[in-house]
Amino acid sequence: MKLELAKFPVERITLGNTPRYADGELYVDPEEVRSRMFNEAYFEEVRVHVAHPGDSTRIIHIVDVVEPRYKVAGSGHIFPGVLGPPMQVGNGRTARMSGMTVMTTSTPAAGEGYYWREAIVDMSAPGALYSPFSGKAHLVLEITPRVPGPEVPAEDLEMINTIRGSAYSQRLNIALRKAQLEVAAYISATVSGCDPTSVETYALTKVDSTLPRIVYCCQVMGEFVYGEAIGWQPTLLHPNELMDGAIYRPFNTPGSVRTTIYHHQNNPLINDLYRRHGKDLHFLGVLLVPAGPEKLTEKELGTGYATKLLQMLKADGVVISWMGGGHLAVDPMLLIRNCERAGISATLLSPEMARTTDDTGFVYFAAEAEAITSTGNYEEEIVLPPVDRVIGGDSIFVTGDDPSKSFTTRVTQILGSTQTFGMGHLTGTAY
Amino acid sequence: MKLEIASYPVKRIVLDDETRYSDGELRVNPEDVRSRMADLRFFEDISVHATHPGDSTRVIHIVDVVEPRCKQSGPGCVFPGVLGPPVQAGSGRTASLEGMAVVSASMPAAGESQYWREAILDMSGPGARYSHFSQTANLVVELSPREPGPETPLEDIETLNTLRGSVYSQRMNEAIRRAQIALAAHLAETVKGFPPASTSTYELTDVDPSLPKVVYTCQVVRELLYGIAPGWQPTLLHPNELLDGALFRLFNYVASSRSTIYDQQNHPLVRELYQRHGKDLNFLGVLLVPAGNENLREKELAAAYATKILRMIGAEGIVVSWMGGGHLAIDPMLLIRNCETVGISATLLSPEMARSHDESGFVFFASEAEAIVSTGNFEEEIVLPGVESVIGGTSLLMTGEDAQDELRIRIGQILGATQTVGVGKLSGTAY
Repeated sequence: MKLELAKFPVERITLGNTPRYADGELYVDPEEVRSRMFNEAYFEEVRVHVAHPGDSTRIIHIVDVVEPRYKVAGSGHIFPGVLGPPMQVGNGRTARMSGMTVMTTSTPAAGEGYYWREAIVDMSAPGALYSPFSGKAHLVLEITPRVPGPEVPAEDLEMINTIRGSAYSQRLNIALRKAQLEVAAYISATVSGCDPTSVETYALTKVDSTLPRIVYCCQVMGEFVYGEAIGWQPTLLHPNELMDGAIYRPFNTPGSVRTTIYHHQNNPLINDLYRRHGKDLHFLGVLLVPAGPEKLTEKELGTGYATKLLQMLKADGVVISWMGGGHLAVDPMLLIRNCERAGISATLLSPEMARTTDDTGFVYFAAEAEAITSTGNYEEEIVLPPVDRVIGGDSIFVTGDDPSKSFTTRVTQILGSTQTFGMGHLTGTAY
Repeated sequence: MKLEIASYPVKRIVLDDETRYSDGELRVNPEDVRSRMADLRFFEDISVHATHPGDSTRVIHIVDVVEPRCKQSGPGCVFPGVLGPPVQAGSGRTASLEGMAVVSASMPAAGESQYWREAILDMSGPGARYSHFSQTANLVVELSPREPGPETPLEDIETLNTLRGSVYSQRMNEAIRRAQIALAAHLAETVKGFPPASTSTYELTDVDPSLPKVVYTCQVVRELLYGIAPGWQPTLLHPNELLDGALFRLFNYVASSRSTIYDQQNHPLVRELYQRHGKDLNFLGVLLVPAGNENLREKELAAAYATKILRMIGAEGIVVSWMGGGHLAIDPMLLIRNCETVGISATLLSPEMARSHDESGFVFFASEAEAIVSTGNFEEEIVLPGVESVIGGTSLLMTGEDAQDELRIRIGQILGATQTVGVGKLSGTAY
C-alpha cells in the first residue's frame, strides 16, 4: 500500500463568488457551501465564516475539524463509507489543502450533554498558545440545529449518558459530520489542475529485519471505521487508511482531548513513526483498541486480545494514545502491564488531570508504566482576554460566561490542547 | 503462546451410579448429567444415552457436539467468556477426553426453522462412512424442550429468518450449548490425578523466514468470540485460542456443513498447518472473517479489510473455509479474487451443491479461484438402512418418516459430512 500526499497550502480564505484556488489563497462561495451541506431534517440555519491566525477572534461550541482532501488517484473515495462506498483506501494519490480546515460549530442537540461539550479556539495570543488549531485558517460552518419535531419519539431525546448523548443527538452529530465532510471534499476539488508544492510518499517498505518492530496502539470508543460501527475486538489498520479518512468518531468528548477528524488525517505519531521507519525502527501499523465499556472483564478482554495480536505481530514496542477521561484510563494501563510482562516496551502519551499539586493526575496506574509523555494538565485554569469577534455562539456552556469578554476557564475547554496524538503544545516535566 | 493438550483416551462410556474415569473408560451418572443440564425454563425432560462405533444406532435432531476438556494449568478456563471470565485462552495445559464426545439432541424450539435443522448420525453401516462422529464414543443428551409459557411474549417466538429462528429459539440454543459445555468440562475434571496417554504441544515457534507464510481464513457468521459477538471487522486469532474454545456458534446450520464445537477444538486445518509449520510453511495464524449481511457493500468491505490485514502481516498463501449455503458463498470468492490479485495464493475448501450433473455446484464464482478442494456434494441422495435403536427422537423433521426405518436422505442431513474444516470423509474429483 503506497499513498502520495500532494500538498496544496492555504494561507488565506476569502468569501466571494467564484470558488477557486491560487497561490495559497482559497476563494469560497458561501451560498454554494450552504446549499451543498444544508440538511433540512437537522439544521435550522447555517452561517459561513472565515478565521485566520492572529485575528482577534474566538471560536466556541466547536464540534469537529477536518482538512479538505480528495482522491486524485487510487481506489476508493476520501472518507470511505461516508461519502462513497466503503472501498479500501490508502493507495494512490490524495490531495490535501494544508494549513486550513473546515470547522463546524453547533449548540448541543436535544439530549446531548453540555458538561464536556464546550470546545474553544482563540486565533490570537495568549489563548492561541494552547490549541494546535490556532495556527490554521478556518472555514467555519456555524450550524443552528433544528428543534426536533413531534415525529421524533420522546425516547430518542433522552440522554443515554453524558458522552454519547441521546439517540437523536447521535444522528444529528453524524449528519453534521457528513455535511462537513461534503463541504471539505467540495472545496478540495478547487485544487484540481493546480500543481502541488510538494508530494510525500507513505509506504511501509521492507526494512532491515533487525530494527525494533513498533506498533501504534490507538484507543477508540464508538469510532466508525469505513462508515460502520466496529465490534469489541482490536483490529489492525494500515496508517495510510487513516490519512484517507477511514475513521471518525460521531460524538463529542471534552474539548482538550477530543480526537477530531483532522487529528486522524494528520496524526503526528504516525508521521513520526513513518519518518523513523527503516532508520531506527520498523513501523508495523496501527492497532485500534476499542475501550471496554465500564466492566473490568471487558477491559481485560480487549487489552488481553490486543496483547495477543501484538505478540503475533512480534512487536518489540508500542506507542499508546488514549481518549482521556475516567474509566477509559484503565484500559491503556492494563495494556501497558500486559505488554511489559510479555517483553514489549510501552510508551504512553497521556494528559494530566490534576487540580492541585498533590494530585497525581492519574485515574488509574500500573507499576509497569515507566515511559509516559505528558500532553499537559487539562485541569489547569487559564484566563482568556477579551476579543473583537466571537464565532459559534454568545455564551460559554455551563458557566454562561460572555465569550467576547475576559473569562476564566480550564485547559480542558481548549480544543485539542491536551489531545494525546502529540499535536498540541503542552507538556509536563517531573521535578 | 504455548498450549499442551494432554490426551486421556476414552473408548467406552458406561452409564453408572457414579461419574469417574479410569483406563479408557468413562463412567457417567445420568443423574449427574440431568442436574447439570436441567434448565427448567426450557426443558421438560432430559434423557442420557451412550452409543459407540459399530452400534446399530441412529442419533437424530442433533444440535452440537463437544469434546470434554478442562484446563490443568495456564490462565483462564476452556470456553472463556462462557464458563468463566473472558481471559486470554490458548496457553498452559488442557486435558482432553480423546475419542469421545458429548452430543446434544433436541427438537427445534418454538420459532426455530425445521428446514435446515435435521442432523443425523449413524453409528454403523453405510451411514457411518459419512460422519467422523461415528468414530467417537458418544454421550448423547436428549432434551425435550418445554412449550414456552405465557411469560414469553408472542414476538419472541416469531421466526426472524430460516437460519436464526426466533428470539426464543436463540435463547434455548444458547442454553443448550452453555449446559453442554459445562457438562463436558465437568466430565473432563474426572481425569484429575491420572497421567495422560500422550501430550501434544502447539506453539507458533520461530521458523526459517524463507518458508511461505500461510494464514487460515475462517468465515464466521454470528459466532461468539470469548462469549461476546464480535463486530464486522476481520480479526486475527492465535490458533490455540480455537483449540481452547474461544469461538463457537449459537444456532444450527445445515447439518453436513455445521461447524460443531468439537470441530473447532480439534480443527483439522489448524492441526495440519501446525504439523507443517517449520517444514514446508510458516503458519502465521487464523484470520476470522465475519460474513457480510445480504448486501454486497458489506461483503466487499470485509473482503477488502481481510486482504489488507493479510498483506500487512506478509501472508503469501491462505486456506479458506466457509459455512456453505447461499449468499455466504459470495464472501470467500471475493476474498480469493482480492488475494490472488495482490499475489497471495488462495485455496478454498468447499462443499458442492449440485442436484444434477449439469449443475456447477457453485452459488457464485470468481475466475481467480483455481485451487478448490471439494468436501463432497451435499445435494446427493443416499439410502440409510434400518437400525435397531434411535436416540434423539422418533421421526425425522420435515418428512415425518420413522427414523428407525430405511431412509432416503440427502447428504446435507448427515452431521459434518461436507464440513469445510476438512474433517469429513467426502470429496469430489473433476473429470
